[in-house]
Amino acid sequence: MWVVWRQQRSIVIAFALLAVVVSAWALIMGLHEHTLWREYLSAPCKGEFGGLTASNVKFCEGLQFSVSNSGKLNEVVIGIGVAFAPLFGLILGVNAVAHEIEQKTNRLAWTQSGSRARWLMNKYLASVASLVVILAPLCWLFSWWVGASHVGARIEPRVFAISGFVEITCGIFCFALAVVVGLFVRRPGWSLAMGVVLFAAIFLGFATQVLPSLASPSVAVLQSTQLGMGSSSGFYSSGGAPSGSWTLSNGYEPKTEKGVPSTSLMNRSTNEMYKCEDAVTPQRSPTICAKQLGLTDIQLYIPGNQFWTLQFFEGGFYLIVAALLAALSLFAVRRVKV
Amino acid sequence: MIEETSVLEAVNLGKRYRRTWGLQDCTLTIPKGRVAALVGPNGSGKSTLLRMAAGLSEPSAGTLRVLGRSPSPGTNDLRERVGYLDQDRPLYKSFRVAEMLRFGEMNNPTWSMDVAKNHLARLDIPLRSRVSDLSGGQQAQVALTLCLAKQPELLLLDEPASSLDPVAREDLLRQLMRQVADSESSVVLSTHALSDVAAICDYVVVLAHARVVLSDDTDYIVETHRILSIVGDGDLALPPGITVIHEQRNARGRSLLVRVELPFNDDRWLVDRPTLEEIVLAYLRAGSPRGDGRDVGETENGAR
Repeated sequence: MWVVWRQQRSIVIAFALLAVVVSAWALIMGLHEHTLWREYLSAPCKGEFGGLTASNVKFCEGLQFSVSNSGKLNEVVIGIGVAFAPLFGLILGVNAVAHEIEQKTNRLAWTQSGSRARWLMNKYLASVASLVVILAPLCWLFSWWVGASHVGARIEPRVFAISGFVEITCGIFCFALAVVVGLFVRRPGWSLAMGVVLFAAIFLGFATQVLPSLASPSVAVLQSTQLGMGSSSGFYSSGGAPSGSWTLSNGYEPKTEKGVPSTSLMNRSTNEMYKCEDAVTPQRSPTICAKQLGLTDIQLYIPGNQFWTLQFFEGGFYLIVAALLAALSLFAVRRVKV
Repeated sequence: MIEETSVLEAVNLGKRYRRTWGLQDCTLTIPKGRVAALVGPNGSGKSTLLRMAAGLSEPSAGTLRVLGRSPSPGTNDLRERVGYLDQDRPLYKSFRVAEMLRFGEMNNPTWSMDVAKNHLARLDIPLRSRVSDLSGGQQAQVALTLCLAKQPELLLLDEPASSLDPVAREDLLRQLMRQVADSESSVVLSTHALSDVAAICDYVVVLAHARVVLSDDTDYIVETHRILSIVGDGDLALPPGITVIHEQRNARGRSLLVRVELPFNDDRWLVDRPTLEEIVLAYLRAGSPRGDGRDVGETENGAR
């Protein structure tokens, strides 16, 4: 274990320092944005449409400008947050195996008294310990920051991976992935590149294709109200998915439909709406079309209370795959040619 | 319990790398308590044989036994008894020398820190130095220290002296001699330096084209080889029982390096006793595609 720590010390310290910098940034930004939002959401700025008086418009616009400016920096924090754990895991994994094979120090290690399996197990134990120690506080901080900065509901895919413990499991998974890739590819640069591509494919595939199907979606009805007249007219929608939920899609369904509609039914109904809207004169609103066609404007969403269920699904997935990769690497390390 | 008399025993051993054989039909026995040299040109299979013996790779054909066991990545107890020095001398470059010794101590139950520190002190290699700051020769000495301090029964050294200056080279050879004398351990080393072979080895294995062409005690090898010279009369036949290893012809006559199992008495030939270096070179030349003489095993009068 000491040997592994000694080998990975500089990487772990570098990532720990980076984590401190990112944490400090997220903390300062989070506190600042929390204050901005508290002011923005409180009177006199409460109410987006028509709720503002001439005297407080300037003040609220200023607040809105500050909030939207923070949004750009928020994207950077989210990007770093999403990439931190996978990169940390991948670099540790590449250093643990591919780098050793390239430097041929595996020949030194594999001709000592311990077995190859023990050599690899020590790497797993020391690296997973490093990952957990550094990522756990970072995860906690990111979770707080997501709430404080109002960047989105924590269940939304954009921030889901940095809102719970999934980040830790991503790091462990990436370590195991880099170990396995390194055993076969044997070159650090190529192993890292392959690890990044494989992880990105798995991460995006799981988040967009698998995760939505693991939760039970709900349906919310949107109520459209026409505002103003002539050129300044518009529609204000109320109702819809409750705050803190993950909106999967918007569309229409027949009023007679009960429960969650099928995708094909939603697509068919929505297409009918578009045809109606395109065919009629501007005086005829979507509300009228919906009434004529007997359709309801709906939102499909996953409620925020399913956040931890989905965290366990995604985190569990990464941990199970990491365990399988670890088993594969322990099997393969005995057969690595020198 | 039967005491092992050989430290390394190979029967029809082969190692295939995709389409080519790194080692083929290798049959040899290296007795216990010897300093044995593996000699051969680059690509002759020396490193391949040592890596298999160290359990780093597995044979593609035949059997190999080291200290009575089949070496493989799974034989943990054998690794405790065998020290291996790779030809690239891999070390953790960012470690300090003291940390390398700690690595050795943590990974080997038979480790002796005194042996390690004394060896490095004799060579003036500071324990606080970073491995990457050491010269190539010093790095080789640190790598060798890791092997020696493990106090193994068998030392497998792949070209241990190749990057050493003459003084360090002599120190290393003396150290190996002392190791064998003190601990009764055996040494198998690969080398290109035939002078080293003559100086410290008492057993020689010559490899050429991935095959063993000579394997025996150095004394016995010297005793059973002769240089036969004759002026003129180039077609004079040799008596039976003689194997021509290498033959050279020039304007004055013929010169043969031969293997003679029986006393040679033929007054027509001028008989000389070759050095071990000359014998090994003759086998290497005979096994080489550029060899300017006859191949090993080519005999006169059907004798072999």
